[in-house]
Amino acid sequence: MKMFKKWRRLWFFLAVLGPGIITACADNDAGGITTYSVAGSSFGYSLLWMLLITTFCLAVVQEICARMGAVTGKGLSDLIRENFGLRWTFFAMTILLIANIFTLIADFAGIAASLEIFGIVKWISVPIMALIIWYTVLKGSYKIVERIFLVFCLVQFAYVFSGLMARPDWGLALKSTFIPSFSFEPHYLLLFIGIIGTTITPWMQFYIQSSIRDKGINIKQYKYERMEVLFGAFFTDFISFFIIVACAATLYKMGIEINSAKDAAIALGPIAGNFAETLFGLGLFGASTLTASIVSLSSAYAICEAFGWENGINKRFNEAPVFYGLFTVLLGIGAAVVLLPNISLIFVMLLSQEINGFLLPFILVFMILLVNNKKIMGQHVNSRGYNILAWFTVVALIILTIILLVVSFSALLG
Amino acid sequence: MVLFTEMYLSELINIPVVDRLQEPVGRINDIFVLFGDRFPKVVGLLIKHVSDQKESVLLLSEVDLIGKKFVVTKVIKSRLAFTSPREGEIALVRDIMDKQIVDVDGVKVIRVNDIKLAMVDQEVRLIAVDVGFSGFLRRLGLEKITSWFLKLFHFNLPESLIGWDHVEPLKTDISKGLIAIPHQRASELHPADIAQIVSQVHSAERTAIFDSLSEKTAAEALHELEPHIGARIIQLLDTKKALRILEKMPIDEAADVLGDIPEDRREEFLRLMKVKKSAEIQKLLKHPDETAGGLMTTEFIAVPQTYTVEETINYLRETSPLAETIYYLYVVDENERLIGVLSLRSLIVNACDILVSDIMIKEPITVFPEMSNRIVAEVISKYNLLAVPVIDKDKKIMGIITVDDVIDFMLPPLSRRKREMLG
Repeated sequence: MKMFKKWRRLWFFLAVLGPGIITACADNDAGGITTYSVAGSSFGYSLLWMLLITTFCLAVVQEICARMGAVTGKGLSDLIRENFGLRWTFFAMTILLIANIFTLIADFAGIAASLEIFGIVKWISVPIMALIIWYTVLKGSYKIVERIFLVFCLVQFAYVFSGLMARPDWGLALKSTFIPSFSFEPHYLLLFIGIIGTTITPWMQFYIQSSIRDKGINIKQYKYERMEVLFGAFFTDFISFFIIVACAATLYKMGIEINSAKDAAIALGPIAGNFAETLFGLGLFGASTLTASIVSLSSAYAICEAFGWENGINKRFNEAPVFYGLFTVLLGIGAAVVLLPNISLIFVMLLSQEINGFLLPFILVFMILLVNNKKIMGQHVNSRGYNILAWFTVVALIILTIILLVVSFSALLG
Repeated sequence: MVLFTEMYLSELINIPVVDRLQEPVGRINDIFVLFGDRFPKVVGLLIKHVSDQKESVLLLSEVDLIGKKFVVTKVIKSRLAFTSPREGEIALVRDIMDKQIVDVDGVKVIRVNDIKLAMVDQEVRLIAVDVGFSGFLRRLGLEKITSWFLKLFHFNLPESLIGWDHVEPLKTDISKGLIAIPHQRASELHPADIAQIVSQVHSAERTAIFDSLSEKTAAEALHELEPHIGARIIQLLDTKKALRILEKMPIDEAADVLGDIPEDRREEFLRLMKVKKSAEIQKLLKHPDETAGGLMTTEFIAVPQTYTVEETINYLRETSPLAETIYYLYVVDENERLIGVLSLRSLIVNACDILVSDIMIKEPITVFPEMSNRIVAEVISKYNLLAVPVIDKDKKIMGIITVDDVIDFMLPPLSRRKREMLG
């Protein structure tokens, strides 16, 4: 009996412990790993300072959604629909859909790139993985898929050890973390937005709020959940930090530019030696598959909930045609784009994160307006400090996007 | 009487209101209705004034005509009387539009895309909600162009209106001080259908639905739900109401629900319940969920072997309200050991003075409390039983497991696991 009780408590703890950690792991997906790797290999340690800032922003943004989920018991798309009406919901869902399609493309690119390391060409790997994700998620073993690929994600810890063993210049790394530097080079700006876009993505906000609602966490249990969400944000960027450090200490030092997954794997050389490519491949494969499953499923849920269409994997196809249709089409588009001939996988992965970065402010504005609405949140509205950080993220992203557009155009015009 | 035919709410919102001399008064921001009739009556328009941008209510009795492009009042601007919203009135944009409602006929939760108003019995009334694609397009301002485009291919935009008498709004925001919308239609539903609706809505609305049900219906609906959802609802309900619902539930179901709520709350409930019931539940709670012990109920009928058929039937009349199943009666010896089982059928077809020990089936199929759910389900399915007794090492009967407790395990497991997405 005692033992049984203990297990039950542990189970409850793990159940509550889900959303933050899963989001954290899925956050360092194909686009994430690639963006951080390219940032480290192209600019060494110099982008580390902005990781520090994005960690704060990530924690704030995630906490807002988790809190809204706990207080209202509703998903983010429900709240947008009920408070902004149909037109704004349509706008928000279009933004979410575009961002998620690009995320899916990046994750299929990640699947293709990782399995290429093992000698499987994308013509085989991508269609098969799309089918496997489609089948396993719909046939009810989503939880199993989630657990398996979470284990794969643990491989990312290799970056921590690799970063430590690569003998990085710690003095310079720490200095770059705390003292900002900036450049108006388009490549730098793109990576800058890419890092924000990959760390804080639109889909994560919808996902974390829905999972908190689905777990039935209420505001009393929320203090534990809050810790988990904050820990998850820290954990994501802890790994990201070491990806950049490991790449800076190896690729940047050797002057190698990343053109394929094999190049990026060199950063794991200090720990894994000849196995670096295998290890990199496993980590990339796990994170990409996990995120592809989550993003395709959660987009279908968010959109159907917002518009009141029947949804849920317990429904039959003819009961919820839009739900199943969306899920299937999204996976199909993700896979199909990667199969285009002559497409650069690394380029696709980077691009998707930048697009996520451009689109993020729109979703953030909805969130900030909702969380400050006393009618919805009661006493749990944002504090002033929170709002400053949240608005700071929005304004900074918009300014960066504008700078980037100006710089790119002026570069184009010569 | 107001001049009006029929219109959608989305077409009315934001159209100008002018007085009888065409002087602009303001624009419509919302429409108030009064619940009570089958089709709620429109009582007033919330106007945003041109002069000071403030909002106030124009009663419908002041309105002469509601047209496609504008609303005209009966008197001139300076003589119009305005009021403020009254308690008990529902604002269509604020409370119904874009919210979830329950389609009582289709047993599902849907979202309101638009609301149709029409003239019925000399009054402007809310007659239907639009939950379909055409309402969706109308809100986006794309209905006309889409339907024009579809007509080129000889298609028509399908309308999907649901009459207001076939839906049930969900009351959500208690803080706004709204009156409770009667749920009488919801309570007429089968408890399994209520359970299906409840599993589709949000937690605040779940509690609202349960609050409005009778305890008996609530108890039946609750045990159709997954125990962990049931546990969440019970915790959110008022303690008194929760207790009454728990008391109305069969012991094994009540134990399942209580097993899923935090220890301190559970002990509070057990302390407040009737002593006998609480003791039985505590006994059941000791068994892990996944075993025969966790599945069984202690509400069964056992008679001593010395009873005659007549005595047994009399005993049955006294006790049957408590028992979960009366199709099987269990026969025990003086040490309460199970020695046989009797079907209701054999009890009825035999003469009054025959001893039950003469007509019972000896050495019945039994299970032990430690056996897993799956094995119990296999036993029940293999021997085609309606219930199987659970006995301890001394062959004493502890409880029974009925077929509806294990039916879930007999169905293919996937259909059960798919219930929730991520939770």
